[in-house]
Amino acid sequence: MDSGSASLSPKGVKAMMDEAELLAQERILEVRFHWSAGPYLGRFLGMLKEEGRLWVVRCPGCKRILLPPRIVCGICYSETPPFPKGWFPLSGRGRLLDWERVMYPQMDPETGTIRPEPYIHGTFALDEGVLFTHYLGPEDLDESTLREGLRVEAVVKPKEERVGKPTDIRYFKLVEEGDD
Amino acid sequence: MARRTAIVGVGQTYHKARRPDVNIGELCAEAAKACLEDADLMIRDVDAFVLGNMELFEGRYCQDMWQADFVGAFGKPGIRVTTGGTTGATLACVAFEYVASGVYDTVMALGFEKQSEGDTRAGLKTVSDPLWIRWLTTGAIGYFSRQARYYMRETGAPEHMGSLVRMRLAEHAKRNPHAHLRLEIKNIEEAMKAPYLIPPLRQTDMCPTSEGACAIVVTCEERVPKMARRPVWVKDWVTVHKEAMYIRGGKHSVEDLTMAASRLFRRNGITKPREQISVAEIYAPSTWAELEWLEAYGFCEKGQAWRLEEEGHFYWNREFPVNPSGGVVCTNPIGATGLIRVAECALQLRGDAGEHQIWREPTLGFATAWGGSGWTVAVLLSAQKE
Repeated sequence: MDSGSASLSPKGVKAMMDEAELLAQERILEVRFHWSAGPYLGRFLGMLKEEGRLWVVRCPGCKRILLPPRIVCGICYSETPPFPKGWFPLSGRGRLLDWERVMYPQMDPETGTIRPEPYIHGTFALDEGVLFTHYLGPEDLDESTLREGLRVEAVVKPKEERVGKPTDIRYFKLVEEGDD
Repeated sequence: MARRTAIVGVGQTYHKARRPDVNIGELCAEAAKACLEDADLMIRDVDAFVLGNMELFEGRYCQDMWQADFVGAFGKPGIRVTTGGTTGATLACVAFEYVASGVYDTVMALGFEKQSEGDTRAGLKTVSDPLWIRWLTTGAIGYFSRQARYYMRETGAPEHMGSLVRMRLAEHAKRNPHAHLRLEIKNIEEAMKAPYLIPPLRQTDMCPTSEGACAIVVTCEERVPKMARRPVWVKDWVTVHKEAMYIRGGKHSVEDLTMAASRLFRRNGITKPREQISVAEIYAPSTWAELEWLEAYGFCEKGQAWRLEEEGHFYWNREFPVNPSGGVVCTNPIGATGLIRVAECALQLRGDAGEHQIWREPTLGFATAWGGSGWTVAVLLSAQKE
């Protein structure tokens, strides 16, 4: 396959790079978004703000728990009832299923700033039979102490700090077996 | 009844980390020109275009309009396709569908990415719901570290396996003049010195951000005899979605890959994929994904891929060549990456891959793409019409 057109000599590239202000220019754009949560996710986030609990609904078709609740189940496509019919709050307790230790600088998509690392993401199997993912707390950063099946519990922000985001839960922390 | 369809030309740029010497249109023009030269066609021979790249990466609305002027699409029909990581392969599928359905006779599919112009990681973070789980996303790196852990735990694969895959891909990339990263890795000890991103995922386990473009020309059976190149026949293709909202929160799953391959293989009488298929160009963004996905596609039993890798089974000159181009881990201009899989597969089936041409007489080729919030494309190409 011959594509001579793609071959600008390195020397040629360098000469052009010296005129960088002509070849590339920089802009920083700030864009504002306003997202509709809708009655299902919106109610879920509202209840999280109000009560500090995760409210869910069971799919009437395949019986799995929808976290967060949605108007239809993505898998069996059954319609789910609007709040409060069939909705219930989760206990916020479960077991550590898996985790990942983030060791490189990551941008926080909420702010555009770089998060201090390392930190740990956990996947938690909640007692009611649904998976959830969140941070593991700063006191549980020692990876050698982590193993699948450890008991965890949500640490929720006090009401005056809650704004209706999943981060109203500060993180999950390890608790002793039977301690919760 | 669908018409028989063939790929009769492929072209790609020499992929690099940055191409500050050209703008997006000029980059696409290089691939279009290379493709037309390969097919020995004039632009007037192309009836329609399918153009694509990632959303949000370069920050331009209606990117296909910007591309059109540079690839010869002026006044011609066509659409833009932007399906995340799978964009390139979806471009190919749409071109196949245009031709197979009889809508157009000869179609060019062209994808590109010029990642240095925007912020890829910022773009990728928008893959998850902004109100639900976006705050937690670590993009592709977080996903593929979990995937690697999962694979190690489930199959007992030792931690050096990622580096062993990388050594094979580095060897392949050295043979492919179009590949972006061309690392000299002397031995496994050296490979294991690469720093962690998220353990066990190392820098060398993950795909780079590349800039480049790729194009193919697809035509109908009636026009094939007039073509300069040996045709590569499009046997079949599938696309599969999976539930996306839980992208950061659910259990690790490769069901979309398994669904895609099993559907494709069942429809085409493939019962022993590793024997019946001569070459695989798999869109695997990490070394560990390559191992797990070979199993998910049904090329080997669960837990078998890393053992075959240890035996060197997947090298370009061995039993079942996987990513003889060097794969996505060496070259990743995202909007072109899926199309490069299809193009490289076509080159292999034509016998035109040069230094990285597989050793065995190729019959069938398997090309895939994966991306976005769980979307898989799988394409089956054939050296023979039947």
